[in-house]
Amino acid sequence: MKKAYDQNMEMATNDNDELSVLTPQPFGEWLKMLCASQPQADFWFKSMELDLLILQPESEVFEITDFTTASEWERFVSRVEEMLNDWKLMGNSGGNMSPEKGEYTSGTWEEKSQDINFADFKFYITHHFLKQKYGKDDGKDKLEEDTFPLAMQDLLCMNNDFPPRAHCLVRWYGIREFVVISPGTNCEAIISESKCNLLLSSISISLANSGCQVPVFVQIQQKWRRMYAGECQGPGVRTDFEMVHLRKVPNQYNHLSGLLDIFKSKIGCTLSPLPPVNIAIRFTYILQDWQQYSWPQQPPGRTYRTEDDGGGVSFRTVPTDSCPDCIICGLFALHDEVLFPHIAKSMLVGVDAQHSQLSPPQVPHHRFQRLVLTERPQAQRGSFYCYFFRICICKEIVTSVLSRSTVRSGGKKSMRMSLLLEVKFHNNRPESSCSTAFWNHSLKKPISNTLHQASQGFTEMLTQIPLYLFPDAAVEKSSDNSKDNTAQSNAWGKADQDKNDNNLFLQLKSAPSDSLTYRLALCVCLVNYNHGGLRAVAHLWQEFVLELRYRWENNYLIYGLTGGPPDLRCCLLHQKLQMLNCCIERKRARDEARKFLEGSKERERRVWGGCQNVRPVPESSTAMTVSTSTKEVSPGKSWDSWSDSDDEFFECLSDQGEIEVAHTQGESKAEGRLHPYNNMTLLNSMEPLYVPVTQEPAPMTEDLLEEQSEVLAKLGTSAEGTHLRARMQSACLLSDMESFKAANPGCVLEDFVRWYSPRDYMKEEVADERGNTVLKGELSARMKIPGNMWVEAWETARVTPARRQRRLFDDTKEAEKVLHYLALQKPADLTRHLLPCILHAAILKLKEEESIEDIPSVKQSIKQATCQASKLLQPPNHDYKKLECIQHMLRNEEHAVAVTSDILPSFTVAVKDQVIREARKRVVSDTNGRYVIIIDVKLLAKMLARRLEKVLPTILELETHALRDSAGAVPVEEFKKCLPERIITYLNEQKLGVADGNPPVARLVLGRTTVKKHSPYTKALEDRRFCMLNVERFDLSGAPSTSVTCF
Amino acid sequence: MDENVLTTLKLLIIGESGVGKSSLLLRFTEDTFDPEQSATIGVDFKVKTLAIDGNRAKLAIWDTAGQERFRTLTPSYYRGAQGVILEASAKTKDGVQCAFEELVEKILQTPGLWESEHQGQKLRLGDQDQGSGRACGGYCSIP
Repeated sequence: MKKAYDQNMEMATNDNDELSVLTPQPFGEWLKMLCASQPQADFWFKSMELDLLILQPESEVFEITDFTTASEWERFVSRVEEMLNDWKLMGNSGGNMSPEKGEYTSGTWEEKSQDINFADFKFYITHHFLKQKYGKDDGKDKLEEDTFPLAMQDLLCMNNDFPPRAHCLVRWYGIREFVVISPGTNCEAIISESKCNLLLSSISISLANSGCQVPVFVQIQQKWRRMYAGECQGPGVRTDFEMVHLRKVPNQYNHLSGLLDIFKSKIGCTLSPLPPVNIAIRFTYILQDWQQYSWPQQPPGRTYRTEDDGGGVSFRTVPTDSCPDCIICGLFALHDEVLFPHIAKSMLVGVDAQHSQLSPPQVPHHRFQRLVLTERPQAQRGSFYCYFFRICICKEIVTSVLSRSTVRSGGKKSMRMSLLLEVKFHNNRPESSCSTAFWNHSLKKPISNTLHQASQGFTEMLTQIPLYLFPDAAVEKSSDNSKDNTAQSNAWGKADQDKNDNNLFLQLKSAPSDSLTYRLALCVCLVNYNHGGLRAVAHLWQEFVLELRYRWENNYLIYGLTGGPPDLRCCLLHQKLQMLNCCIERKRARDEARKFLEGSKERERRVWGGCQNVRPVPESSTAMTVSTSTKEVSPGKSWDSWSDSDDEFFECLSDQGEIEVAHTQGESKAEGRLHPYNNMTLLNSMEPLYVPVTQEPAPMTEDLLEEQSEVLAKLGTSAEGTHLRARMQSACLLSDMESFKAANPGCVLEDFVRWYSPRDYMKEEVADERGNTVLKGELSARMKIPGNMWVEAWETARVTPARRQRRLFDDTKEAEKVLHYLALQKPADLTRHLLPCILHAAILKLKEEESIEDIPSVKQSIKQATCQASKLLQPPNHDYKKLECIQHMLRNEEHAVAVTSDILPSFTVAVKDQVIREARKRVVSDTNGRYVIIIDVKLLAKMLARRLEKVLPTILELETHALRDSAGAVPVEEFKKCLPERIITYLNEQKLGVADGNPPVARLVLGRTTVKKHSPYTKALEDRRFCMLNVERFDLSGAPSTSVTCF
Repeated sequence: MDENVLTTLKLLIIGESGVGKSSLLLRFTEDTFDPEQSATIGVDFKVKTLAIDGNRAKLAIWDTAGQERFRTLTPSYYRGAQGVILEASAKTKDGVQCAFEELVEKILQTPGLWESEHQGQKLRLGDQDQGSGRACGGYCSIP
């Protein structure tokens, strides 16, 4: 069952099985099982209480307790019992009157909670109950033994359907008192079925033992899913609370008849006339497009596209295009009107629940329940991440996605998208201007009537994506100004890094904001959400990789990446891009040097003489650029490349050597000198000792490093392994020695050691025969060991300057490797790579919004979320379940910020903060993990009695009206009276949004029936099912009761 | 051999060249001394399994070359290390503490090594045991 939840969001057809899996075994069976396995357990459970009562004053009690609560599980059960005892939930709960109409709304809900442990796993056990107005008259009516428990009566009670603000369990089952056991920490969850069953069994036992008739629930799965399973026991009857949660509404349950079918099938009644099913429905509509009706404030969160100074579209922030939101929940209760006969087919077959005869205007009891302001129902940004996460799960390969898209008719949009993207990418290259014309031409055709709705903005968007990703492409490029380009891009990256003082990207292991990777993440997110989902992402990615290849082949640096070797603190994708940039840089330096040489050969040749210091000397220019560009402390420096697979040289210029020789004849034959070293001279001559230009170590990305250290580790710990390892790594040493020899003609190993490993050159002051102290030096003992690796390397080293050596870093090979790697990434992999960047962006955005509002409590929880995220993102393998929790956390904060910025624009920070705190409390206690904040306007009114301005009066008025009404709802007419003029106009025009196909965002269907299950003589048992159809989720919960005595 | 191992820890040995890193490692893992120990090139690697209270832990110890030039290269192998052994020679005149702190700081500045929060923080050597003659024991706590 869990698998079905996780993997395919499409509903499996065998929903019956799904529903039944969570049902715990009947208690009788369970007991039997227990007795079979532990013959004495049953006895102990029963007798223990007696013993306790009898033996109370005696001290042996402890022994007995010890003995019975031997295992963790038993201890847990008795703990639960204890809690039930403490809260006085034992015994018959029946007898209270059924709640008054609207009592759930008007009454106050209270809760008590306590920690409870199962082994080392922490749970909260919470008792929720409605505070009864009338005093408990327990002594008054001793009822007959066999009444149903209160909860079961409540299941059928119709007085309190759809309470606007209550724990979801209250809404689903209509119960007024219940106990919930939920995991103690936010990120923990009971995922496995066996764990869940274990908990349910424990509950069964504790309920049976204590005779408690209050339903007890266990929260399963992640908190935000709001999955509960539970149980209630009464005399001779037991109700199981069970539910299904899916992310998508399966087709067959999109209409009422389908739901009825499932309802009936779950009743499992064998008697021929099915009892009537009672149905109540609530639709919730969101009224959109408020702008036309000029809401007094500017709609919030309009940062969808802000103009950048660069002129292009800035995707700097994760787009939020939420409408200024205002939901009106239209409630129309059908419960007393429509009683469906035993089979409702005649009336409802094939009728879509959302467009049935149940259209709101015709419903007699059409009442507005509440007006919730600025709760962002869609939470646009939240769903951005949501969808993003969905891609993470899907594992298709780019090409397969693409090929499919061409086949399907639905693929048109993305086809066009791909065309557009190609055009845009091509557009940016001066060379391909002819092809651009072609593409532009062909482009006009596909824009046909089919998808013209959003096409304007769409096209605009697409033109901007490539520009946004590669802003340098817009500037006309040629190899002449490309050098400036490098500097510019590097400078840009640096400046940005400085600006980003909080190091968020380091914590999250994402990439600097405004780096290419970061921008790519935003684009992917946007494209995925707005422009065709997975296929669009695949297209974008394909084009992206093509563009990279193009840049590699044509020596254009990739814009917007910090120069230097890959920054291991960033995400792998970023490192790969940086790596590619390194390759391009080196390749370009080589090509340029070659070009320069060819040009200069004919020109004056005397430049070559001895003046190494003249800057643009071609000889050193290559090596210099290489070394300076990577001069910053580099994380990934390592020297791999014991590989001798290729014969390319560090700088393979065949003719240069001759020039050298020709022009340095008179002087030393030194080549590749960098600078003199500490005024030292060679031991055997008076020539100064020069530090040679050396090859830079190869830049490495994280995964390469990993690979390499694995290789090294695999060689084992034997002496042989050690030797082999040293040999493998000696390539760099050898290269340095060769450079050194070239720079210092006539040098010896001692000279090299003095530079390379000064501590291996022992200096001694020795008095010579004349009494003067003379500095005498020699190699350290270990260097003098005959045949050691250093000596060996020194002997084999030829006199070769760095630029004529074999390259340690083969940029061609590495670049191809990177490109290959990138091309192999599936959209899912891509999203996984980019996930840290997305979270990074979300946090940044949130911070920015928050900084305007300045709410301490939000600040606090952002910090918390960041902390948690950074912990989760550091290890190489992400825990996506937990990251999803982070996403929900962020979403929650977004709501909070939105609420304050929308409702409370003119209030002080302190007030805002208090509101948020209050709201947060409600989130926790009321909806239990539902990430929506509903501002309690009543509370606001109290707090802000004197400070109501502009908007608030109307809302408050509304709310007070609502409160006055016992049902918590206002009749339409009265409701309208309190609304501002413009909203009424709107309402009239929209007819609650149904007429023009504006579907409800949430549909709640409630079904109830009483069945005499087995024979007409047994007691009638109730069953209540609740179904919530929502844009983002499908919940189906049921509470069938079964008789324990009669199977 | 790998069964019954509770955990594998990655350790590093870092220090100036010629202070005896490889010899220390050899003594630790094999309890021998090699007078012919040559200067390490790049990194070397040895494994030792320890049993503490019956719990076996495998130590994968990476020995690094101390030369300045190598020190720009070896940090790539620092990643994922759970512990660092710093070695300094008591012969060093400029004060062991100074050398240590400098070294530790250098290590910590190495990007990508540690969690970012530790970066850029000043470090102090804690718990120095200077009484015991020329040997210097101590540990450096990372805040």
